[in-house]
Amino acid sequence: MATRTITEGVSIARRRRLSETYIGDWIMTTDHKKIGIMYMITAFFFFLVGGVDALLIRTQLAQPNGKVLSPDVYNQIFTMHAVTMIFLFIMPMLTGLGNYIVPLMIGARDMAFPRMNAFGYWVVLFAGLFLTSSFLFGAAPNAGWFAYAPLTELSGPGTTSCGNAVMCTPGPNMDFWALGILMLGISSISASINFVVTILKLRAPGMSINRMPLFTWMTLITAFLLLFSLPSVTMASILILLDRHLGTHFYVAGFGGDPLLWQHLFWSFGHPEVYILILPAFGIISEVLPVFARKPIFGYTFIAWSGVAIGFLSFTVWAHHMFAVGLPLVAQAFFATSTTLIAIPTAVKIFNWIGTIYGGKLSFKAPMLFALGFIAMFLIGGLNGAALAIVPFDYQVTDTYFVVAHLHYVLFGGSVFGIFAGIYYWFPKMTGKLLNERLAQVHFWLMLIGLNLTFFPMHILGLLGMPRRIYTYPDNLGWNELNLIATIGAFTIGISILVFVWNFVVTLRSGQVASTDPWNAFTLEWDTDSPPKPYNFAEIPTVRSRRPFYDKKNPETADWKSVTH
Amino acid sequence: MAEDHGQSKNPGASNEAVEQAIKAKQSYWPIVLAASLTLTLVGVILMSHPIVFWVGVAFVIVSFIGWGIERH
Repeated sequence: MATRTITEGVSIARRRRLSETYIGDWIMTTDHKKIGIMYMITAFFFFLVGGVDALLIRTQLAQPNGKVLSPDVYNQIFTMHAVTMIFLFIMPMLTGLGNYIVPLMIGARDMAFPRMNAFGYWVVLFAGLFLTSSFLFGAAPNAGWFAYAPLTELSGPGTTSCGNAVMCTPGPNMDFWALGILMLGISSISASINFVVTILKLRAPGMSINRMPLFTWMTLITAFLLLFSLPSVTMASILILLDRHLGTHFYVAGFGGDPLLWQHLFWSFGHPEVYILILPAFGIISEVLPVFARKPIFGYTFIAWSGVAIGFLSFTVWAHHMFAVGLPLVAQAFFATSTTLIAIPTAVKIFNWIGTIYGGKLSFKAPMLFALGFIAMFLIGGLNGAALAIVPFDYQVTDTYFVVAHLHYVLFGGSVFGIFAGIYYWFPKMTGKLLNERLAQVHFWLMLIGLNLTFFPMHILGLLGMPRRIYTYPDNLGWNELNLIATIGAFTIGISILVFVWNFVVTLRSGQVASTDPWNAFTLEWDTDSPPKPYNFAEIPTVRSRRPFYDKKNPETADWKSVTH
Repeated sequence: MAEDHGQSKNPGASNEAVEQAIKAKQSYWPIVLAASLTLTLVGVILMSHPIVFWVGVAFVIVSFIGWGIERH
């Protein structure tokens, strides 16, 4: 009796292991769903940070002769705005969505390499903190997100010191950039390998490549793009570090180097990167549209393989960012042609999405609104991108606000709208709650109006000659009103994000409980609990068509009875 | 197509048993390795204090070994 009492006492007094605590469970987790959630929360935090940067930029530019920020801080803010939004928001957010959803979509129980998956997340978090902490040293990256050499060199052209700070970067600013990008590259490679192996090896029985959900398709293509494009920016970053600290001169013309080497290395990563940011959003839209149009996706094969075509072509267009550097005519002709060609598979997708909507029983819930907003805004970004492929026009507007307008219609109107379509669509699966629809609609309309108020005037500003990254401007150039409108638009977007945050918090606290399948969807992730159990599926499903969950719910009209693919 | 990576059907087993059978074990090595890498890079920035860099490198090596010999 006495022994039992002592044993129980010891048992009760045993300290809990780290993994048994709430925080320890998250820190040590290897579950793809928890890792996905951590990716998304981290990415959203950095979205807010990058958003504050954007508001500071727009406040500085709201009126002529602005003095809200000092010139040096302004350089740091616009550089970190882009670095944060591209590398710390869009990429991790899409990786997070993929982490959570792809294994569920393909009927797998986890990613192929769970610990490597966790490692990839932690590297993103620490790299983000590392990059952002540079503000604490007053030395955030300040040479633009594409960090052109020789501006990023430690010493001036043809000299061994940085006598003129306009021509080089003497502080550690660009060391933060180069090292941060190296870290994020390590994370992206580990995540990409994981996605490739998971998708190729862990699909449920019967899920052939030809039956994979399109979000999975686009995630797979994106993973390959990352694996093939990251080496060039990694090498470029290592070379600039060698230049800065070990006395090499890879990018210094005065010592036999070549500044254009940087541009070629950077953009041979940088243009596939644009598709890395947009292809998963294409996948999200291709999942949302059929569900809210109550139809199968139109042109599945064309959408999937146009993604592959975009992937290949994205490696052939990089020098359209460099038309103004004086490329040979034949190179200009080649890159103008390849850039025009890449519009074809992109248009194929848009026509197929329109075909999906056409004749459908449309339901304008929040995911659908963001998907439709995506198509409209991305179309504008694509069309003005095609204009930029025309060399003489590019000469006129290169490095002006026209380019800023283009890239924001693609990345904000495209990627960010796609991300919000995905968040509204899969939120019930992740939390078991439905986001408030009325607040979601307010969020959508404010964001759509804000986007167009902010970025449409930038087309005109660019045509009027306003250079991108300019610190301030005099009041006699005809830019005043358009800049003020853009600033009002930016704050409208900021308000729309606050509405989303409010909706998110209220829903988590007291939101409407969602069923396991609130949208009457078609794919496997909805054929499990909300949120799913750690093992995802008690029994691995068998797939017989592209809409396995539809088949299960509608055995009489199952796709596999009438469609062969 | 799909290899037997915790994927096999097992209708007779309870859900808890399935979970035990397929769930990858928790591990602190991923976060330790990521933090070690970060410390190493901070050491590159703080070249005036090279000790930070070398401590980071040491932790990276320890993390690799720990990860490699961990049972999973």
